[in-house]
Amino acid sequence: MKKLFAVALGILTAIGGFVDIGDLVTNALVGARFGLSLAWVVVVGVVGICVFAEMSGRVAAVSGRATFDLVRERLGPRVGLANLLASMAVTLLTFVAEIGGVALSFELVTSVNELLWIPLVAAAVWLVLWRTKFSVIENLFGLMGLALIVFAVAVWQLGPDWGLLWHDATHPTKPGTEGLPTYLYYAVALFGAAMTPYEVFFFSSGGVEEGWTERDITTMRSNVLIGFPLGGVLSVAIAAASALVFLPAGIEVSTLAQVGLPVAVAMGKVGLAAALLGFFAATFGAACETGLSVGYSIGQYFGWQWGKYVRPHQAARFHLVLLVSTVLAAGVLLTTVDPIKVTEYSVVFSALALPLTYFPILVVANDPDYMGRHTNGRLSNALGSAYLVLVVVASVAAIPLMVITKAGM
Amino acid sequence: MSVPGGGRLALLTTAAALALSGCVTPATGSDSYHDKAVTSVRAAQSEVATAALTVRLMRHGRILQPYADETVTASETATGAIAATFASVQPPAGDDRLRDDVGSLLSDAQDAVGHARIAVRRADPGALRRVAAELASVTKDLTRADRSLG
Amino acid sequence: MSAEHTVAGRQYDAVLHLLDRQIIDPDKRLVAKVDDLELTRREDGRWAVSALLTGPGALGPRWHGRLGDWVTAVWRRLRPDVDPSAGRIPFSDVVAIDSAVTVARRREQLEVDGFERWVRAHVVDRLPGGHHEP
Repeated sequence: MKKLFAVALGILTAIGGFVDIGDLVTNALVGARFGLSLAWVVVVGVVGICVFAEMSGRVAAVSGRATFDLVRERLGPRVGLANLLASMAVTLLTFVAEIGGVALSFELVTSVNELLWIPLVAAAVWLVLWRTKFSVIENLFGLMGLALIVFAVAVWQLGPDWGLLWHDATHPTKPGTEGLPTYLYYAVALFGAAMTPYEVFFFSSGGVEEGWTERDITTMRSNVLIGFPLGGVLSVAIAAASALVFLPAGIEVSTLAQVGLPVAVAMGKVGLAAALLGFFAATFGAACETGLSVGYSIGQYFGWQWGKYVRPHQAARFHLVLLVSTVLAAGVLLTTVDPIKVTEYSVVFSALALPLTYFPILVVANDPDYMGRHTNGRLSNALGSAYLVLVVVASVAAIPLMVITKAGM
Repeated sequence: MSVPGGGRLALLTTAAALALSGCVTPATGSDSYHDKAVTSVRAAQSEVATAALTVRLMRHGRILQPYADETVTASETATGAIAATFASVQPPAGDDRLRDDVGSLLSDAQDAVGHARIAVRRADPGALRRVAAELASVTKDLTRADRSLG
Repeated sequence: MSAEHTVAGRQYDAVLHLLDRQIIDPDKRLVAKVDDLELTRREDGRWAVSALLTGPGALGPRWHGRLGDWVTAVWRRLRPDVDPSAGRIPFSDVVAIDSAVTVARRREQLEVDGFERWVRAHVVDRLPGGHHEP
């Protein structure tokens, strides 16, 4: 019974924790411009992250070490350093976007300007990372994030032509009004948003934080293979709600406020309040995860004691990194840069960094030295290799598409 | 780290700069001025439609007041920026009429969204009803302009 | 470079199994990474691993190029000794080599974590709550 509860908690947390500011903004934006003609990208992205999250979770459970920890061993200190710098840059950018997202959520509730919230939010995030237990962070914000189910309910309430929606989703053709490069650019952005690089490293480090062993592999798999796809359904729901309300009205999404309007249309104030709770949970939770991920990557590259499973006194350098990252992120946001614009760039740069982050996972998961008898099976390797090709294509296409489409204009 | 790495970084920075600069390149020929006009009209349409939706939700009590305030204020700021950017572009010879027409349309849009913001903040049902009609009229004009230009 | 060291019948490759591996203490706490190896020539002319080296002094040179030189130079500047040596753990301290390298002495006794102690004293211990349960 207790085991069942743990499994259920894990799945629910995975669903609620799946969506971050990148998913919120990108799915709403894409839905408003392209309808569901890019939904297939979310499906492809979710399958990809499931494959690699399962691998990196298995690495943590079997070897007791996080995936990034092992990158330097297998790829050497120089390639490992390049990997570290690239993933850190993208993760920091995402961290900035998430903190901005929290501030925007507060602005929507209080009408107090986002800039005034930045220092408070940054301080709150740091405080949570300093004092709150890892499992509490995961479970609290994961479960709160389930409020985003309101988007799926909203789609239902809007009473769409389901046949038409299904047809749109299964016949991915670019809308006549948009050019092919723009369509592909947003495909790359959506792909980057679904397969966020920090996610798999965080998942693996989280496994070490929670002391996973071989016995936890089944629970881990259920979290990934049930939780993540359902989280992906929420992403598509955000896109669908956006499509149903914004496409006929000719509205393009450029603010967080617009993301929630379809829920207000479908469900009124109650739905909107739930959406706001969901925005807060998704962004704050992801802010904690990205902040921790920066600390994890640096600590794991250099061999420092890292993690929240020890007292801060025992992991001083790790906590210093968290502190510096938070101050840095707040500093960037206080330059009045638009967090939504930062989000839009962060997802594309995520796509750019994907090969560097995913290739080492495939290498480590196949290494019998760490994995014993739990090395990748044929399915994992087949899917893993296929996705490696895909992420390289997306990564190579990202910058040219950004230049050609002027960042999606 | 090594020269190729630095070179790649420089390339990336240049590409990013190009991508960003593309958004504010001044129009040169008549074609690109027309494109700029169409883009501005469509962007204004999006903001006016957002404001109209917000007003409608407000009238039916389906939106929280601070949320509506934030949404419509953001639309107002954006519409102002669209109008100002379009006005600042140097029109090619022969396109002065286009500039005036589109300019006045964008100015109407700005007024309407501004009235929407005032009505939302006052939560005044009468004002909301009037501004809904004003926004609908501006939407019609913008749609007509979009069709004739595009 | 490929030196071999035999332990209880199993052969290890110094590059594959030692370099860049995590060093842990008997309590399974993380100490450092094997940033470099100290090799000593034995009487029979063969090279043996005599110590594990850690820290910027050891890792800097392995980065090669300008970055490595710069890091090593900064590290030398920051150390009080005229000719500083990298953090060193004698190879005799190693008790196990598997997915990590386990050493016999506890972390505090190893003296390879100058930076950690500095940050602890100047930052973490100055903030309230640094000693709370995880």
